[in-house]
Amino acid sequence: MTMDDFLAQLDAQLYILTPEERESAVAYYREYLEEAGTDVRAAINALGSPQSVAQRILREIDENRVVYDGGTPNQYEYADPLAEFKTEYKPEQRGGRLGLTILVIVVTFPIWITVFSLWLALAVTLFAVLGSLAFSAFAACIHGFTVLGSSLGQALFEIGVGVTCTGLFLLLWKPCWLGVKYSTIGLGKLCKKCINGLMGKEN
Amino acid sequence: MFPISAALLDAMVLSLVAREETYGYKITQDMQTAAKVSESTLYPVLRRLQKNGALETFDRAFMGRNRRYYRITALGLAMLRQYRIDWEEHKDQIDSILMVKEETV
Repeated sequence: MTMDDFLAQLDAQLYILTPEERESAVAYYREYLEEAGTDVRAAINALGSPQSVAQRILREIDENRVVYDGGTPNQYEYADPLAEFKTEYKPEQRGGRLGLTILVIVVTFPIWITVFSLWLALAVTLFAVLGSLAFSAFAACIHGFTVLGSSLGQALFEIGVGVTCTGLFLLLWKPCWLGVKYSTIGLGKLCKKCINGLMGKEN
Repeated sequence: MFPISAALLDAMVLSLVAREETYGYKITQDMQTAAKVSESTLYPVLRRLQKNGALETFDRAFMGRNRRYYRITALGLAMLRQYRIDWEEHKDQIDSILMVKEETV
């Protein structure tokens, strides 16, 4: 094999590289063989095949770390030069996910604002029902007693309404209170679960 | 017998180039006086060191053709100094086991 043959084959083997990288490699080996002087053939034999020379260049450019074994071209090992860094580097879970969490909270705004609004509406409604029952019971009873002297029928009716409202209040305050209480607790737990899930923590 | 790691190869090349401005063929020859490295080993090393900014190249005419010389940079010198420190440490660690002679009975 002549020097030109060798360099042409090397160039062909490096087709995957940029023209600049190829020229650099071919120029290096042209100079190298020229330096070898009279015994170019021996120098080419010492280098090995253009394929094996190209392999070395390609593997190096592939950013793999090479462990040279002292000359036998087929026995080198390759390892990821960043392997050490990759195993040692663990991103801070909280900090790393905080941005994501905020993003998800913002993006899911239409969902959680609906859930929150429903909860608020339920609570307000239940308290309003209880409040109006209590007020009605109180007002009807008081007014009933004030008109007791003038109009017995109206008084009895109003006291009846008041007692009915009192009964309804007594009947409903506990379920209403429990409804508000447990929906609040449930919503709180749900929020906590979602946030913890997003932040990558154990629940 | 003992494989030369990529880091050691880098360190040795840096040391050779730090001594004098030199070229690929001569670097290969010099390396081969100390270690069994193949002829195709050095180009990727030189290219990498050059790309990392540890070495720089310049061309000089020689006998009617071009010779590409390598010269060490400030960064390359800093790397070389660190390599020498690390090598001392590495050598001492190996020696602390390997070179402690057994008791003669």
